[in-house]
Amino acid sequence: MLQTFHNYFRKKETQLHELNYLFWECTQRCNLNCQHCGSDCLASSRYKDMPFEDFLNAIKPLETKYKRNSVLVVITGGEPLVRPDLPDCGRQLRQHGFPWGIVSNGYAYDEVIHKKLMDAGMCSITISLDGMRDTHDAFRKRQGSFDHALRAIDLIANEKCLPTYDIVTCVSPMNFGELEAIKQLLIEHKVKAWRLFTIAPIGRAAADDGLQLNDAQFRQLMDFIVATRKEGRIDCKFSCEAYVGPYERKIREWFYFCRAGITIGSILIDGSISACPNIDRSYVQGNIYQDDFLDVWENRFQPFRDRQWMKTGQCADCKVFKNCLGGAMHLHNKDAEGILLCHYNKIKH
Amino acid sequence: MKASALTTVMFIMQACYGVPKDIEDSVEIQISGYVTDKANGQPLSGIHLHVFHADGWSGCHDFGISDENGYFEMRQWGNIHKISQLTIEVEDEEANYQPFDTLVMSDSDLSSLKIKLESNQ
Repeated sequence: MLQTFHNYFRKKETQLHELNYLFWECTQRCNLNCQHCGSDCLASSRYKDMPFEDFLNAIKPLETKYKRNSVLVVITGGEPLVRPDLPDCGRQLRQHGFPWGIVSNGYAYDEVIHKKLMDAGMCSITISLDGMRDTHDAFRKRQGSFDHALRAIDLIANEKCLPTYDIVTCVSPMNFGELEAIKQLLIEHKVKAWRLFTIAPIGRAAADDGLQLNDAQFRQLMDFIVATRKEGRIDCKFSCEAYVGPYERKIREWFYFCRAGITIGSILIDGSISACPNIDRSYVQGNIYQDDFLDVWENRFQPFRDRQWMKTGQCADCKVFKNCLGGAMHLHNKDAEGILLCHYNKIKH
Repeated sequence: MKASALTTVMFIMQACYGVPKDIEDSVEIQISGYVTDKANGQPLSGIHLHVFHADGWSGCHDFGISDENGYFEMRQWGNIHKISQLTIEVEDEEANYQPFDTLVMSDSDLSSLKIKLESNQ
């Protein structure tokens, strides 16, 4: 019954396609070289960082269409903290009526940058923590990464003025056995919100089968989240990366809904206009250096807003297609028939 | 009820990749008004203003400079449950007027402040 209700609102939200979440891939440079990176970023990129003015000019027309403070800009990369002008970018976004946040590995997040970002009006941040010390450092391929991430977590968890934040963990066979320890660590460090992902077979992670949970592990992960939510000591949830059948609403507040291209857009490092940055670049809908961003948002994005084309491969005869609509957009590419990874199948088997 | 209102009610953002969207606690406070000469009421331009959280937390700061009408505008951001008092510091960089600072409640009307500076002469 509730699922039917949700499907109705999903349809309405898709028809409206109001932008409220806009990624800005401001750089592809990164200060780490993580084994499981979905964006395949590098220490030095073939792309120069996008000048902030280019991004701002592209999104200024949104001010005529959307209410002030209704579109959240999510600054990502690469690692956004490699940009020295990040606080200034944030301040200008706020002045133009765009609340903003960053996704960071936390390595360069110290007291000085924390204060600068808070002064510039940052309202949301996500820091990655992918295991206890040895595991995290191995993932990140850099010793000290864990301690740096924990320093960032302490600054954020103790920040009274920050409206929201969370810590994310990409769950793989390497850190699967540490979930309980990570949970305890985060609770000890006063963290309120923890989001768990699995690793998608895309970007650098596509070449490493060892990063995927097997079916039994995936079910155990779901059970772990259910149990942690029942405990109520930390707001633990599964990310909105997949429909998970009987676990829906037990592992997060509401039903699965991939909003890529529906309420979520992006401007990528080369000016490409798309949705989440981890979506295959073959689905790019335009480019800010040639097109008007608002026009592209309003008049293109058909593959995102009508997903019947996803009813192919293993989705073709699936009985839950009406609930899942082919799964998350980042798990598709034009070279593959159907979804790259079906989480629902992991639960069924 | 219109569909947009319904979807707003129903909207629970569950980010796949990205930051949490539940920023309803995020508040933007606009602080604006006029700076004048206390003695004669004339507008003062080029006066520097600075607003920040009064309790010394790390938090948003904003800066403004009064225009030829003495008008200034600044904004303050943060968690609505945590911001109670703001400090406004006013300074004439040319030192013709005495520095001034004041404490204001964040939930009061901050859109028409009248700041009167006393001349040093």
